[in-house]
Amino acid sequence: MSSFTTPLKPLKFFLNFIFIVVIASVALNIIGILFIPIFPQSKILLDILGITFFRWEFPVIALIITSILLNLGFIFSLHVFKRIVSSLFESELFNRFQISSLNLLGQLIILLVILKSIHIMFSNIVYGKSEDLGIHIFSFDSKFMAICMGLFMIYLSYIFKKAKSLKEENDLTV
Amino acid sequence: MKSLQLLKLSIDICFIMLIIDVAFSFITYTMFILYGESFTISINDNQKEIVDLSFSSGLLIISNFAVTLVITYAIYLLRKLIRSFFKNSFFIKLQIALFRLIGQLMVLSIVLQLLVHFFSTLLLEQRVKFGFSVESGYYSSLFILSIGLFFIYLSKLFDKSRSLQEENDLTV
Repeated sequence: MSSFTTPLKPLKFFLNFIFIVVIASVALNIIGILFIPIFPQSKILLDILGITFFRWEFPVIALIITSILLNLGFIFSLHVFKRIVSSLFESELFNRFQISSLNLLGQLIILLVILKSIHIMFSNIVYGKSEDLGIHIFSFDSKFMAICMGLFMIYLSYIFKKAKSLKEENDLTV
Repeated sequence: MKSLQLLKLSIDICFIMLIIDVAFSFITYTMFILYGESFTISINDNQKEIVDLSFSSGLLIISNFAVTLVITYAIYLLRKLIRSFFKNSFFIKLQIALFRLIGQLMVLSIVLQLLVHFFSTLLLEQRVKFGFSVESGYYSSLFILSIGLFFIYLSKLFDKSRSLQEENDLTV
């Protein structure tokens, strides 16, 4: 079993690291929003929030709130991923929890990628930017690749289901 | 399985676009090198302008291209892996090897990308900059790194299931 532990240590480390960084960025965003009424002209604050200007208008506020919600969704999906990894490490393999969590993770990834693209589209409209929504294709970090990963996770849950029935059969014959 | 069909379709689209991208960038790079004009290359979303062709900038272009080739190869392997699921045979040796290789290639590509990024800012802008992009969620390099490690781990899981299946076949 010792060979099983080798790639898990760095995996856990990276997951924890991303977790902390994302939580910190969301916290920073929320704090920034609380400070905006006090310093409405602050340039640094707007840079942190990733917006070009701020006014007390419905679309601007709505965009900031949705970006926070998206980040919270990302934190939740990372949490699910973390739970899957620790469950693979600690409890028995191919249990029902892992199957349902993998399914959930896949659906979350797809949903969040689509919502994020819509969010970017709306923010471009509100801020009048001409940044294209086109798919960035040069590497793994494209939207398409993220959707592929989501679908892959859903499919993995199916494979895990198969492995579970295999294992149960095995236990029965013994 | 509906999701498998969708997965195959999206991987195919991804792969074809990547191939077009690789071919297109190869042609533009060679054109620019032949005509000796200044041009920009994009590394990790950052546009870098290369003004003159020297040994270092040439090396940079080649290494940037190599990273893209690594990624293309990994996506080709992913495509192969998904096709192997279509035959309804699970936990075979090919899948175990492919999972491991894809995971390793993902990790390798991220590390290479980071190195290229580091050296490009060092050589072209004469300053030291080192960092991950984290704010963009699923596109961040750290997330892809953990997915790569997850794939390596999955290859081990598949190995385990394979021995389980063999045991099962033997008892029957």
